[in-house]
Amino acid sequence: MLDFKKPICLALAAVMLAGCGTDTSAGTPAATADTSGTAAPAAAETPAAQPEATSGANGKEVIVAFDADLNTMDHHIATDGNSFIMQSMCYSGLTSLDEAGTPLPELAKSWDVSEDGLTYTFHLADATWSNGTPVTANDFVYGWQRLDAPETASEYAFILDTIHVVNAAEVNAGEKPLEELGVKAVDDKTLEVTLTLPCDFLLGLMSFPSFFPLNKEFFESQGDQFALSPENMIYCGPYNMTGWEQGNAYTFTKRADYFNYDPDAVDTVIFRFQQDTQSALLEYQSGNIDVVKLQGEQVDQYKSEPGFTNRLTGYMWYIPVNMTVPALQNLNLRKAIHYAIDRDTIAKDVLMDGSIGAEGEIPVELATGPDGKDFRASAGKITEFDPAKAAEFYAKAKEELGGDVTLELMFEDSEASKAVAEFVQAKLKEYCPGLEINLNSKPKKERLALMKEQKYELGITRWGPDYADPQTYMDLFLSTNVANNQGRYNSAKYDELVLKGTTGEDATDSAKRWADFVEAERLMVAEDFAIIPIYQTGGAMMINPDVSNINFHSASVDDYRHIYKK
Amino acid sequence: MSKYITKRVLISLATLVVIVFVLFLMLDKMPGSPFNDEKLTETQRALLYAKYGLDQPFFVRFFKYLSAMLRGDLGVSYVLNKNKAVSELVRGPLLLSIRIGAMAMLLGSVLGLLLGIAAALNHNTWIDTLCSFISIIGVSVPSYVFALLLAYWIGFVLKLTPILYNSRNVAASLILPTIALAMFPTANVSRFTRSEMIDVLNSEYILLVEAKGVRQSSLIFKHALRNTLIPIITIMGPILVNLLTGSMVVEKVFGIPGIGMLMVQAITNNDYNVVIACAFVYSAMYIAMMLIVDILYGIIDPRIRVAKGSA
Amino acid sequence: MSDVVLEKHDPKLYDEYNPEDFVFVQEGEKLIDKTYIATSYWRDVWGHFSKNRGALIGFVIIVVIVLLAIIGPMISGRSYDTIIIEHKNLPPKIPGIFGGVERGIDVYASKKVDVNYWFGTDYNGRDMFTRVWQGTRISLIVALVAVVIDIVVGMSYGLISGYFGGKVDLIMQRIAEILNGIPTLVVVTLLGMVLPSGIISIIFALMITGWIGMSRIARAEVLKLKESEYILASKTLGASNFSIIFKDIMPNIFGQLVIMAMFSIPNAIFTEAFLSFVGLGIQPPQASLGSLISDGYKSLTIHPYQIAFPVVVLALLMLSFNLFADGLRDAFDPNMKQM
Repeated sequence: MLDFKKPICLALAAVMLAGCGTDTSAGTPAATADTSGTAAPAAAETPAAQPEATSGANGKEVIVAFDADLNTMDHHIATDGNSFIMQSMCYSGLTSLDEAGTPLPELAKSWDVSEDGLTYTFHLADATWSNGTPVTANDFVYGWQRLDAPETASEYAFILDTIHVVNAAEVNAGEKPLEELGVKAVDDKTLEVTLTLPCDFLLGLMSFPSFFPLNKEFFESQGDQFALSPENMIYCGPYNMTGWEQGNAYTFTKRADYFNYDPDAVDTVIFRFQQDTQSALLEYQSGNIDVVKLQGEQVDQYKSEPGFTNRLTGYMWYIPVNMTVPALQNLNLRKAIHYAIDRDTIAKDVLMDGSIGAEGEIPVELATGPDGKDFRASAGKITEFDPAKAAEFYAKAKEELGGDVTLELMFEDSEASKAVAEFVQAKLKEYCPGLEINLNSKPKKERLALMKEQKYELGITRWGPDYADPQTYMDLFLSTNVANNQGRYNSAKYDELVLKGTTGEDATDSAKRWADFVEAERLMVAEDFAIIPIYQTGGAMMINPDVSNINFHSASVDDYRHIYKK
Repeated sequence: MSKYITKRVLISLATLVVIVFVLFLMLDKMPGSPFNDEKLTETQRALLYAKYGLDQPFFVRFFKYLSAMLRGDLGVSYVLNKNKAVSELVRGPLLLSIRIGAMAMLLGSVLGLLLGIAAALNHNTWIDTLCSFISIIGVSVPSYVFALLLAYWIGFVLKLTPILYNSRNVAASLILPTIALAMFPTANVSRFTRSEMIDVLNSEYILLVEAKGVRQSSLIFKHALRNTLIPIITIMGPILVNLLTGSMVVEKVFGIPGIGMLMVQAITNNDYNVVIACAFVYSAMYIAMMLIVDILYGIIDPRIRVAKGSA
Repeated sequence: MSDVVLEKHDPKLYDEYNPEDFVFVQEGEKLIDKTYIATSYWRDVWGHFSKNRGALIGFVIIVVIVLLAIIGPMISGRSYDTIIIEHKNLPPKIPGIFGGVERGIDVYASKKVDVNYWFGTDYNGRDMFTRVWQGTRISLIVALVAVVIDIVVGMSYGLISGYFGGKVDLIMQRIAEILNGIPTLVVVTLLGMVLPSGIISIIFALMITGWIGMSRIARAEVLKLKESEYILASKTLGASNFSIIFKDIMPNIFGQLVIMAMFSIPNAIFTEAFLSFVGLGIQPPQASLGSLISDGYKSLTIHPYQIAFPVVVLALLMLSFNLFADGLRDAFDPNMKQM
């Protein structure tokens, strides 16, 4: 009996001791000391930010909460908005954008454009990399070549071809050597870009991270470790990255030797990854976060508080009707759906996050035409909500199709998409009596895969502009664009109009090009009813009233480079 | 015993290989790519797949991965901290999550045992009902709701602890997540202890001990609890699994860069290598836990050891 | 048994007992052996059960909730999917109980709504009362299925694995470990591609992952019991393995398993919510308790009532299921009958 007891006591004691051990090492002051030790992720490689250790300027710190994580600091392989924002902190482009989105000189102090609009010559300012070497035209050439090189496999390589840089497509396809790309260093401080066609939005795009320079010497010395941690990076922007705690916080500290030094900008900007907006908002109210995004009901709750800010993003949500589904080939049915969607109510009452009801497929504030007017102002409102028309067209469709229709509406598993889909479903049923709509929720990747293969009937999808020009949307619905034309919209007239404006006879005439796009959009949305725009995403947020001068750009990268704090 | 353990460890390793294989197979069938599917063109996809070797046949990739794994190379991440070695990417979050998990497990077990014993000793009284009630709230309120309520009341209203994880003050910012995570183990252990304790207290040997006039505290802690603990060790496995899944949501609420959050992000982004690494770590921990449980059994309960020996 | 007062046993006293300290009990009484009427097993169970007040209360609450789940959506006079966006986020209003007031403001008055929503409305202006009972309906089905799967699959698996031991146990446990090693999120996403959404898919998804915890417990209990004398006796008497497992072992461990099964109910309900979120399970605008809770969570700090009602119903369900299960356990447990 005694023999049997001992092992139990020992085992129990072991369990308890082990337990106590864990407890003391974790819960007591002993653990406070190991903040930068093993338990803090990534802290070992990048010591946590020390606010007092900044270069003496103003000691101010701003903490921004993001609900998506940083994916990469390598600006040639990045694809997501938050990575671009953080890259813009520590790299600069040839130009930067002012509040209204107009390009201003940055690393290029001036530029000349040839008469025919095919040659851009940039004169570089006297900027240096963070290791003291000057930023030269060769750094740009090297960066652009890396972006276009097939072995980089950059998802943004296409953008060189979009602005018509000579040989961009051929180099990317591996048909021509890198040296034949249309970008040359005339001398250390002069960069020459040659195009095959004029490009109206080139200067604005130069502030986009894909076009940022790359220091060849440093890059090659890092091998495959480049940009994986702050030690593997070299900076040419107003901030240095000083802290990288994956999944938690990313710290940027102002560079004293930046050529365009802004003494009033805050010393430290910390981007904090926090998915749950409710706890982030609590932290904002406690004064520990300066900028936080609002979602759904939070907007309603805080819209009258000081610090509430509403901005528009360029994301347009729309339904690309699947034209391969027999019932949906019926024009009257598509019309009925178009007229049954109450876009303003969706934006104002369902989403409430500062979104606006879509007036067409091209978002507002995306691009300014040759006449100085926003594209939407020129094209006007081409969507319409009218329950009576919806009912009327549905009745016609029913007659033509010989009975009631049941359709499936696919959407992705996000809060906003779900609320919109539920609303659209209920209203379609209400306004088109007899029409049956089933909802189908899918994870985002799966939704995209299914829609790409036309395995859907109606689906809610979105597109974010890559550059400030309607073309970023117009290209999507060309009959030849198999990757993005999810509904297989196929209109010879639309193709003709768009191609005429992008690469055809009107490409060199800004005004005519604009008119082509206006007409093409009208054709697609308000004549063929093949694309049913719903809403343009807003971004309601709370910004500490002491913090100012964050510039939001709906078609480009948001600018946190000149934040001021009282 | 050592022979048995060696055998079990070897079999566990084989199990892990099978798990990696199944994961590989399943991830291969996941819709979409690890890249930006919203905008990815076919040419870009081909280039990227070639760059990362994803265009190779399934078995080639699997065996390459396995052999690299033996050298400690878990591949590179495709999305989160793109191109970073996964072994490095996983280490920090893993340690942090283990720390929270262990603390929650400990807190939950101790609280659960106390509640369970209290309930069993006062079987069918209001104390029993109260303990039941606490444990039922513990399972019917999802941990994320509990976590946010904690953040609101303790962190925001009372300002006793930080709300979000902060690497400048790790210990304090882990208090709330630990409590939130401990809820499920507490509930589970207390219910189980209660029921097991009632059984034990009704058994003949306890009657004997009672008849011998042993003090009540010694009766409970020396005689009854010991036998109660045996089956309770078994629920450690399920609880551990629940802690791991619970950690995903709790980490999200408190912004903790732990392995749960890393895995969820990796899965939604099809970050294959990170998913496999995280899942591998999970399975390894689970299997190790089961192994320990089985071995502990043998130590605590000699009857089982006898059975094993004869089997 | 707990009446035995232990403190009175002072060892020092033992030596001092004298024969005169003892008195015959029942001396002079007429002792007649009582013969009991043979009661059937089920009558016996019912006898034990009906004496347990907690179990009866639990049973009554379950019945009430089930009834409400059936008729609730009808008595409100509203449908679960009618969206009246002007009526969104209204707090509950029942004259005399809830005033429709949130943060000191009468929302009904300020939005000029003159109808009453007993449980308030959600983010799309849908009636929460209808949705809660509609959701309870679906969750009850899911819970029932989960318990059945848990018991049938998990218990049998654990019992067989534990009883036979050796190679059978080894292989069965490895299979369970492999199933456990794959993140549910991955399994579920893949299932979503293959299966259509609906109750069948929920059942299937629960079947793949839900029962493993239960099988561990069952196995552990078997390991504890299988070397006991009464099993040996059964074996000696020539009982078949399956009769030993299901007739001799199972009733003894049923109590633990029922508790474990009860605990799998909320788990199943939350799993269902997660499944419908990623596209398996029931699709919106349908609701389940789990999906109502996860929807309500998103505005927990702003409109707490939206999560309160489904959580309260779930907790009540859990509580009553537990009381009920405890009663069942006591009624079924052969050990208890000797007491």
